Amino acid sequence: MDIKSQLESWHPKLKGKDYNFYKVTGDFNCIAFTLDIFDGWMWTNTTLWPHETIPRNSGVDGFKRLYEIYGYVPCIDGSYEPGFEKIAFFTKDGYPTHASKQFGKIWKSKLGPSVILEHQLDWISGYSEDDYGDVEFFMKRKIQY
Amino acid sequence: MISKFNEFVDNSFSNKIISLIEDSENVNISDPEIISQNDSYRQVVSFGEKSIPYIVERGKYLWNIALMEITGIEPIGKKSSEIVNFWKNWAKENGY
Repeated sequence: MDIKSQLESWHPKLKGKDYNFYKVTGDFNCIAFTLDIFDGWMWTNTTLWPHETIPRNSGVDGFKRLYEIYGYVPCIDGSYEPGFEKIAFFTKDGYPTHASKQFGKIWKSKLGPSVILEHQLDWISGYSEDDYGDVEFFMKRKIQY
Repeated sequence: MISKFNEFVDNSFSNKIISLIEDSENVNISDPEIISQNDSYRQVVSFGEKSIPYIVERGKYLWNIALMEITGIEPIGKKSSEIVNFWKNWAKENGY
């Protein structure tokens, strides 16, 4: 299966949409990508997780605290605010599933082993088998130049 | 004749495990524990020590859970590259 077909298989709402994707080689997951970490997997059970300050069993709240450590504060929505970068954190049936990061007026996600997807948030949300559920919270921080 | 048969078995195993490894990696999931519960991942782990050279060769953090399960060893490091290098060195030192 080619990458485009694979992406649309995971997220059916991508079909017919004007999305972009490109391959990357770094070994990182979606949460790491939103934190500009390109050599590590960030999840409550990984070696990179700051377990000294955030317990591994802290669930969705643990991820909020994680983003706070990296300078993010809660915000109302994912609308574009010049000078700020935002993240959208997804849950499905109460469980963390994914995070995307805003770059200007587009959102980017690390998907699968080697792909960055440029998309709208609702194109990867939903409840088909591999969709990510819904956005649970948004957070933002000033862009660090 | 026997060596050809052994070669066939080796190639067959190689093809199978590489296919399972690729299936395991082809996911849109960010939680390594969830990935490690997939059928293909479990099958790779079920091969035990025979799978070690193949998954170390991949050089991906994703296989840390499998290697910990198979070896009972906890790696030292935090970044993907540190964990991957730990397992590469461990495999070399242990003859894999």
